[in-house]
Amino acid sequence: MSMFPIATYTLPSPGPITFQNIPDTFTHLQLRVFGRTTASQVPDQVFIRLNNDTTAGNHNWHYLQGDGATASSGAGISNETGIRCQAIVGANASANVFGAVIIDILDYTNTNKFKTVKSIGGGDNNGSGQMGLSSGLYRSTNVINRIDIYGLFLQFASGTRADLYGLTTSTVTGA
Amino acid sequence: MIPIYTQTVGAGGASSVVFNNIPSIYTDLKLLISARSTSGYGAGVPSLAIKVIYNNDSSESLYSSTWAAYVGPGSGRYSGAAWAGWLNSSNSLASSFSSNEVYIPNYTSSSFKQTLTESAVESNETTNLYLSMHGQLYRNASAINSVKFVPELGNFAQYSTFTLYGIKKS
Repeated sequence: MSMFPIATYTLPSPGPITFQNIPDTFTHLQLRVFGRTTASQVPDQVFIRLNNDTTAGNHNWHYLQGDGATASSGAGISNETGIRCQAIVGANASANVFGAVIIDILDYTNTNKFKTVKSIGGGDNNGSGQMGLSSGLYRSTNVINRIDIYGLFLQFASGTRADLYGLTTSTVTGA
Repeated sequence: MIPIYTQTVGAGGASSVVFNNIPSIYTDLKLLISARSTSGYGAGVPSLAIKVIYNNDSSESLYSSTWAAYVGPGSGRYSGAAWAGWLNSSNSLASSFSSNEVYIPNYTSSSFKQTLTESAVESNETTNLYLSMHGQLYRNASAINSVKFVPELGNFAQYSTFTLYGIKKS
């Protein structure tokens, strides 16, 4: 097995989710978010901050997404204080509808690399919704030991769950 | 999901990365790649394409792919070429490496091989940057026993990493 659960958290009330003291014993991280936010709209977005670093300009992000009618793309490359990941549903989505986002951070302990974040996700709301693929860059070579997860426009609703996994690699090269 | 092989590029770089002798005991394969090239097309072009070649089969007429990317946003096809994803070029922000996931379902089946790739190439730019999804078709019914990656230009840079995982359905 190579994918190990590190921690999971389900919100009992609206708010953000934080994973701290992430062990440095894995090679990659995968974060899975299943939830909705309290924002009065159908799509909202997952926003993450690594190592609690709010330095403006330490982050980039780009996205490619579709909403059932239009494909669009966009970017944030300056003065960003975190990374926008993919869409999740907001409070105007139908009851019992939750979005899902999978976020990968490869080589999170590698001090020779900035940290690239890849995410895929979204949510369908039976006539509305949004899906897409996103990338982000945390311009730091520090080991990632903390991840804060927010709804971009407002808080995650109660019942939103985030799971953090660590992935290992092989000692055999297969060359 | 079981890690089968991992390769990390050393100080001299690598013109390609190959996983040989892939065991046939799994159902699907998955690769996680964090890569950068030592070369590029110049300022303002932070991405390079990456070839994914199976069974050392360089007959690129057997490969085709469809992709959708951030730039545009756009979509396109390659026919007769093994391009399946993008990575950071030397013109991207220093210390930035792509995040790629390649999924190869039913790799031992006697059908043609359909693979999926997500590529996240990041830099502080908004042009020529290929955050993308690829579907690649390899029109060969043989089981896959090796996978080779080749950058469009240059070599894979030091610290690029490639890990192959096997996935069993039960």
